[in-house]
Amino acid sequence: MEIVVCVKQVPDSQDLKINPRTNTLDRSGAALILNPADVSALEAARALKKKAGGSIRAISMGPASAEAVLRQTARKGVERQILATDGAFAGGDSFATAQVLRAAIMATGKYDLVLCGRRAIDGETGQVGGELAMLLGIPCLTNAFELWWENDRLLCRRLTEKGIETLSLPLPSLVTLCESYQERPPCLAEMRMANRAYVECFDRHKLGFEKGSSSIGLDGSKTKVRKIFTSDIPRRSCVLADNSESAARVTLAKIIETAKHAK
Amino acid sequence: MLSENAIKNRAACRRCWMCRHLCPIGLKTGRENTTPRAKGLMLDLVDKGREYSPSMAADMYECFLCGACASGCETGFDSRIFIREARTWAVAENMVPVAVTALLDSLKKYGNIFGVPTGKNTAAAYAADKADILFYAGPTATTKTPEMVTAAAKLLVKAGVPFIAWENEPVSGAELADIVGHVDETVESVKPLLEKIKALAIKKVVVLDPYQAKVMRHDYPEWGLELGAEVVTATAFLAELVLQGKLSPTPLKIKNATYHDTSRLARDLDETQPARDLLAAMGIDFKEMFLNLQRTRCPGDEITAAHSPAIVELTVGARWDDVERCGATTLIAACPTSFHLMDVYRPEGKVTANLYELMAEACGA
Repeated sequence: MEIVVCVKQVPDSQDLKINPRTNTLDRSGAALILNPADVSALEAARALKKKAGGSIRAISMGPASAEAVLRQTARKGVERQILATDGAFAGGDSFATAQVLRAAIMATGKYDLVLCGRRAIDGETGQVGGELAMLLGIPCLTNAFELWWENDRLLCRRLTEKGIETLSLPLPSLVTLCESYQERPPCLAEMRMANRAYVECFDRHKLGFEKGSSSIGLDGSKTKVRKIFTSDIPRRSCVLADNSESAARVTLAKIIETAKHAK
Repeated sequence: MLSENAIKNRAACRRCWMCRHLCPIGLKTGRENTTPRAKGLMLDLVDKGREYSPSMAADMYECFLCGACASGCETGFDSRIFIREARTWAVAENMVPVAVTALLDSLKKYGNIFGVPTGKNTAAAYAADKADILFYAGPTATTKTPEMVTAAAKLLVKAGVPFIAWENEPVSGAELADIVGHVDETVESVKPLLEKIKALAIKKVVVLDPYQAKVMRHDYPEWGLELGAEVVTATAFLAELVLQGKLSPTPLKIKNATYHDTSRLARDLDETQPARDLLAAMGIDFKEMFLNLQRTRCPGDEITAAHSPAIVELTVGARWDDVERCGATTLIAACPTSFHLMDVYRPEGKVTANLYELMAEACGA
């Protein structure tokens, strides 16, 4: 089975701050890590490869620094690391990102299964997986927490609002993974592979995008971020010691009054 | 190629050199490359393009992984994380020193690092046919200090605790984890032990060697393994038996003694009191060394002793200096490795004793 895992380098959310003056994410000093849900997707791919055979390639869109996280994927049994990097990709939203990922997947060969993390911890949109499946023209299954290969079939368990679904998937398909797979240690052969990992870089030319293409970067974005801000929710407390019905009425009136005031 | 976690740990170092003053090897050898700070710097250089070399790999093995450096580090820099990974790297690239390769061969052949068949667990002779408590000694104890194993087993019998013990114990993975690191092969090596524990529905594992107990309690969850039983150190278990009145030691006449806290018990497992309770129950008024409790000085580990005995001779010497400084002549230890190494390099006029044999004597076991 030829598996593609889409990964993203993200700032460690533990190190992230919001600049109260500019209302933007302050990423300075934040360690850059592999997105946690993508780690889960990589582990799922690794487990599938063990059962079904084949190979895994990891693809990321990002600046040159994203090479570091791609190298890390070699510790998880990924044979090929591909970085889509070009100034023209900068500022892209989830749709523009999906366009680049689609081009990178198509440019790097055959695939049976595409795995993505269900969301990235920086943007938190959770849209890239669905958009990428649409662009590739393959079925998409979201919020999976377990994938396995049985009798030449790909099976999956996913979380829904009503419970857990167990489904069989046609190939090729795209699946977005929850943070359900625990990171397993590398084996020595994977460590050896990681030490020799070579990240292939693809720019817009290699991916077939024209100069000034309206499908990538800021121009290709369907959404525009107008403002990021820290929501300020003032909290006040009021203790009413009386537990009688009249006290409850007073409390209710206070709540209604406060709600009116908040509007 | 280090993991993100290891890189983060290495990057936390502020080069203050405090670890230089805490590392038992760095202090005695005076060689910069034996210190945790230098090991971090070496890997930093590798990150910046310098090739990871066999000499760097050899330096990574000059560490007891005792955690002294981490215990005094204000930044949370834990060198053990990246040193273990640098060892994995060395193994993957066939860069381990010849002497360490011999340890790996021995582990593969015998399940221990000593190059000889693992000693039979003498506790098996005292074990019940069926029980939900397992007494696990570990290869160092069964091979190098069987007298500790026998004494501990006799104490359990004396206290009326039914336990099972295997003459041939499956490995815990502790030695492989320290030589090769946290890799899939290490995790796989533990599976026979886990399967055996599960099959016998063991509820509690009483572990004699703190080195093995630390791996079972702290590392297994990190490796995604579930032991399915509570892990109790032998010292804590015996102290509890004394508290319950199941063991009643009579006072022993031992003077000028000191007790050595092993780093695995004191720092990794945060257990210093149970051994002191046992010493108090035996009426042993010991002298406390300055470098003890959580800031204890590690005299060495069996892995370094096997591949670099000259280093361990120096560090054990430093520990005997600590004994001398506090005015003691007898050193009491509860850890098989510490007891064994301190005994091997024991200076004239000094005595080594182990907590379990003393307890067995005090309890008439």
